[in-house]
Amino acid sequence: MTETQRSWDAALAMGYERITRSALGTYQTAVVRIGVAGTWLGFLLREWPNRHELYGPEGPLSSDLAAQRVEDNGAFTVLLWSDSAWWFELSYVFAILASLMLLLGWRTRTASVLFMIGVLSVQNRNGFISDGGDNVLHLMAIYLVFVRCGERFSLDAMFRRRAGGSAGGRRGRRPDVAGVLLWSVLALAALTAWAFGVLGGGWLLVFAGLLAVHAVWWIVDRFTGGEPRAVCDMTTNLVHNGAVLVIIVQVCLLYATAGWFKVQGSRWQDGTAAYYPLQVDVFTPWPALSDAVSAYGLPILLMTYGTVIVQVAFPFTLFNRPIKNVVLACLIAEHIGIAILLGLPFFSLAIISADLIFLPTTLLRRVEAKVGGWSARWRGPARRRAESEADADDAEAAGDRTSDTATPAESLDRV
Amino acid sequence: MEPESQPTGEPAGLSRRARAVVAAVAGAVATAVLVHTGIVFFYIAPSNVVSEKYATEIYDYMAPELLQNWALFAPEPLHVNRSLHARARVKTDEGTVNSEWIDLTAIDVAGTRGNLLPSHTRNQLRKGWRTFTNTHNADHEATSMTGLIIESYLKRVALMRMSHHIDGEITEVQLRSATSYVPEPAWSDRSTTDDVSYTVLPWWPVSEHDFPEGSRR
Repeated sequence: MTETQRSWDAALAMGYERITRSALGTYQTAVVRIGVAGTWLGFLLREWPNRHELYGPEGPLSSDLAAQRVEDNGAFTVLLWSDSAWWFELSYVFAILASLMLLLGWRTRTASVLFMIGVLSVQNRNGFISDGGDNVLHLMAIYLVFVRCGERFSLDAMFRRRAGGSAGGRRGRRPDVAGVLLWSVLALAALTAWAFGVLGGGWLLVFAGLLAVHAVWWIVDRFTGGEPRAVCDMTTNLVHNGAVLVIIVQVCLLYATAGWFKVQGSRWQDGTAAYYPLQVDVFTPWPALSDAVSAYGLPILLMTYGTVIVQVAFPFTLFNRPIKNVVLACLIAEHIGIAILLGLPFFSLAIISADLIFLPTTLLRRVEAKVGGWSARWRGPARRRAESEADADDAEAAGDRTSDTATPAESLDRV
Repeated sequence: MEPESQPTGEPAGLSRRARAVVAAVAGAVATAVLVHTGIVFFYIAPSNVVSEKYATEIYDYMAPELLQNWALFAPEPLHVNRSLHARARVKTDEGTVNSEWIDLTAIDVAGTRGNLLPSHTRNQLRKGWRTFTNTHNADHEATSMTGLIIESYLKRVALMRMSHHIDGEITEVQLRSATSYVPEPAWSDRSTTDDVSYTVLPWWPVSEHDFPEGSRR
């Protein structure tokens, strides 16, 4: 066996160890969670006055029309389970609360499922008005269900730290009664919906599967510990890491195809494309600003070519960290520009949220330290003392456990 | 293989069975990631030899919840201003009269101006019209279920927006699109026509139930 083979074997083994023993990119997935949930929450609140017109049972897309459409395309929506006004209001408020729950990271794994239900329900109720931003949120809502996105910047993480880490599960500690209650209610709700014939068999199976996962976790956490728990933990890590990879590839494919389609257009080729949307009435919230931006050919040329170059190049820049960070900053800056100039704030926020999966860990660590400092100051010195003791316990616990809060992942930086 | 060169990735302390379970999960996850991203790629990439051959299978996997399209402002950026206009046939004391054309898109433009957070309501007509043209033939006849639904949808959006400007009972409604090219940039040699081109749809009958919440009856 040659030296190369040996180091290759070692690298493979180390990689396997990493993806089973730890959830990678916990900082990044946490900020994606906050971005996605925050964007959708902002959208729902923004459209609160227009909710009946956009999604309501008596709106232009009446319950009857929407039901025909959903029967045709098979999309999931709880909004059509009843055509009464109170059910609509209830569902809309539910979607808002689910977004808030995920944003704060309270019972994050449950929140992500409820959030997905909210996003799919509202968007599928009227797909005729969805834009690219809705599309990103729709996909992210599904992917986040598979991700340990509450390990950082979340109430879950805060509670866990106060409780002294989660090493070895909850054995010997207070049973999670609230969690069991919550999941029982949700199981009952799913069963009821299925019994009434409004929840399809496929989705019942999905929800039953998710419930089973939570049940297994609860049992190994509380009763068995040891090896079964380690296997559960590794399975969860593997699923998490797989889903993170899917999100990364999804965002890369998004940019790559966006660029790919653009280069086929004559206006993108001759460097004038950025001019046109700035002159379209429904995309000019600030006509004077749009005119100023599109007044000269050279800046338009730079914007047009720059957009194509950055979009097509983005996936390849992942192999070089500094260049990746520069291009990422360009993409985020461009979308902030689009948000203001073209009046597409939620579209831009959705795409920026997905981009956050590529943020450097060092930056997010600094953010974490800063936020930690603020909250410590806010809670006062007495609490801070207690906290630092808990932190010490946490650090101690972190030494001998498998990986619940995971070794902070640098890997995303390295790609 | 020499014993010391064996992979050390297997977690120490786990039984053989547990290791086998973890390995099986790893295999399943890797397969799922590969299959999923592969299908997504072929679904969103420009049409090619693979995506044409397996079009049905790919669509069945993606629909309804994973559908996506990233041809944003592409291949050509939006370069026309399009307004939807509507007029009504109204029953009055003197008989049946046609109303003037009312610019329904004007509400969307007004709602966008000076607004940091424009509403999705401006997508109703703009995207609705695109769905309409995609689901109708040259004679404005629906070619699919979606086509029939979007007709009712556009009619109801129109009634909601125009009913406040019309006195009397609306018995029929007619839509047209008014499309004009964005003027070519002053700094380019290209020029374009200022003409507005109209696509006029047939009259659609209106019943009591076609008025959404928020309309004036």
